[in-house]
Amino acid sequence: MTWRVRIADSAGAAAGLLVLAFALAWVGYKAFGAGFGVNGGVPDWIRVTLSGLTLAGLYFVIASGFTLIFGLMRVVNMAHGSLYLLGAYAAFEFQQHQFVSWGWGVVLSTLLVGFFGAVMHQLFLRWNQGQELRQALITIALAFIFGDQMLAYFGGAQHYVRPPDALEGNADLGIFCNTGGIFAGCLTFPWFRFVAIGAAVVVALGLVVVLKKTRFGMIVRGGVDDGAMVSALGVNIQAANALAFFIGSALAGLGGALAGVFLVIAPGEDADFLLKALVVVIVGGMGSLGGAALGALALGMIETWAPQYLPGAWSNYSILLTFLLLVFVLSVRPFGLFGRAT
Amino acid sequence: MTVAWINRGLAAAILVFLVLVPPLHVLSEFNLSQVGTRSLWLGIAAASVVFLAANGGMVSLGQAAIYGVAGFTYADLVVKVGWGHWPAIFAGMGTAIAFGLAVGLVARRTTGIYFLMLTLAVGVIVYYFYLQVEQVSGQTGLHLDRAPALVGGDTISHPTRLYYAALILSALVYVFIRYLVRTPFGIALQGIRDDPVRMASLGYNVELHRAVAFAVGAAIASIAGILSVFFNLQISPSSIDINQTIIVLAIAVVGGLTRLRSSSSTRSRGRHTCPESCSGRSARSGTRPGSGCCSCSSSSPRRAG
Repeated sequence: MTWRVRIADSAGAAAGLLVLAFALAWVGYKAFGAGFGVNGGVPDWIRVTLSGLTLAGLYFVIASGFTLIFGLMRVVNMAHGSLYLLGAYAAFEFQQHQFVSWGWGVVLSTLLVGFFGAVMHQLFLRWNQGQELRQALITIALAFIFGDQMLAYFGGAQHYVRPPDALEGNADLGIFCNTGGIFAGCLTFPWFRFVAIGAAVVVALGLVVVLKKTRFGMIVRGGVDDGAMVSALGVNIQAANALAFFIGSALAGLGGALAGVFLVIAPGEDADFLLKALVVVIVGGMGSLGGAALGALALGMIETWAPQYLPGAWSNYSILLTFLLLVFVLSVRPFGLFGRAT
Repeated sequence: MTVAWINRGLAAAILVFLVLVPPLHVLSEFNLSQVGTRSLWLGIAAASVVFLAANGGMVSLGQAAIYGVAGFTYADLVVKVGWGHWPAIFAGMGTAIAFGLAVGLVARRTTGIYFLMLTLAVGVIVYYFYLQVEQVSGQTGLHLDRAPALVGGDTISHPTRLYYAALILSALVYVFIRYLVRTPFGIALQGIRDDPVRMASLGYNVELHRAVAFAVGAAIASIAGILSVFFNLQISPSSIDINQTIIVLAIAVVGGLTRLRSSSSTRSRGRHTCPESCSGRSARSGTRPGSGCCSCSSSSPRRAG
């Protein structure tokens, strides 16, 4: 049986790589085939790719919290999308009532959602530690309840968070300048999206430092491998769990508060972002930060390149590419790119 | 023994009374349709979840998407292509089974909580597929004028025939599942649920059994999908959204998915493989997996070489 499985695996891997190579070549042809001038495909390519990086950064911020919680506690937090939406609504609410400036609004929303998640963990997930399926079902139920409560309070209308004045408008990149006509000016990109990319990089660096350099990080890394042993060594694993749940939820809240500026805040987005987090960690492997980064990059790029570069009649089908991504990764690595069978 | 049989007979009599009497003008047509028929077709969908969870140890959140594939294909072929009802129904079921087999093959090596996440992701992707692709559905969905005459045509005005059709199909699904779990395939599936490594070393193709089981689950769910279209005379992406997924799961959980919780949750941890009696006991007494009775650790159930 083994050799047949191996052949099937290799065939799956080869097919996946072939499709990937073809997709990249196609995008390259579309982007660079018409030359590097102002009228070529390059300006659009830069704009779309930067948008993709923004999305990838946002997905990474959200999915890194998801994967951190799973890595340490084996809790699949199906309410993660609700925490994201709660963060977005909190940022919106702080701004509506003009309690604080935008920046403090983001900080407060992040902390609020982190606190909310920690309370959720203490009340609903601490007593059934290790019963993964039960916890998954409980968090699904909580997601259902939170979603309806947010719908009842904030209504079904779409909301937006206004960016601060300093970050409003577009950055002038100073390249690919058009002269004359209504399109005069250089290639531009919204300032705020650079902030989102920067936030993702800061979060990534911060998590790496915390995980590699601090005592808490050591506990988390130990707990990922063998939680019972860490506990037996006298480490207060419950405190570490609570802190990890706080940080993981806070990251979802931060993602929501940032996304409120350039994406819509509306009921249903919680399910959408739960899907993104799931796809990112299934592709990257549960509990792996590097995997989350790679998965977020793959998903962000697919979601922005596909509508842009697929032939017009096919662009509706771009969601299927997400499915293909899952299929190819799982056919080769059933636990994700960096995942381990634990 | 005899007391048990009397109890069972009594329960069966009450059940028969409850399902057969309501249509005889005891209940209003509204209650008959909105409570009776709806519970029956949702029950068939939940039965597919329970079948997979109980016998395969696979808790699927993708069953709503699969019955959506059946329902959408049927409605598309009737409304947009102009097929007759019956060919469209079988084409819809066939598509759903093929899709289920494809998902089963993708997920054949994922177990436990990964399987849950993967099927949820697939379910949400199917939802967005039907939401975005105007050619097959779009946001407004598809509307049928009437169902086949066999189930009463205009099922909204005349729901009684559809109630009986759903009742018969529910009974058939129940008998089918009871039969299937006694076949060699069903027994092998339960063996794979309890100890995939041992089954693989006995020569069973573990992954193929999982994939085929998922296709069987899809076949059961596709019946629910067709019935749901009969029932609503329309299907739209909101018929298979995450709320619907959760409703189907909730029915399955209330009906008795938790009884099997221990088998799949210990399985997904992979370090311990408990004998059946042992894991059954730990579920009832609520002990945590990995503690107490489950001391019989064997090698982790990765792919057998």
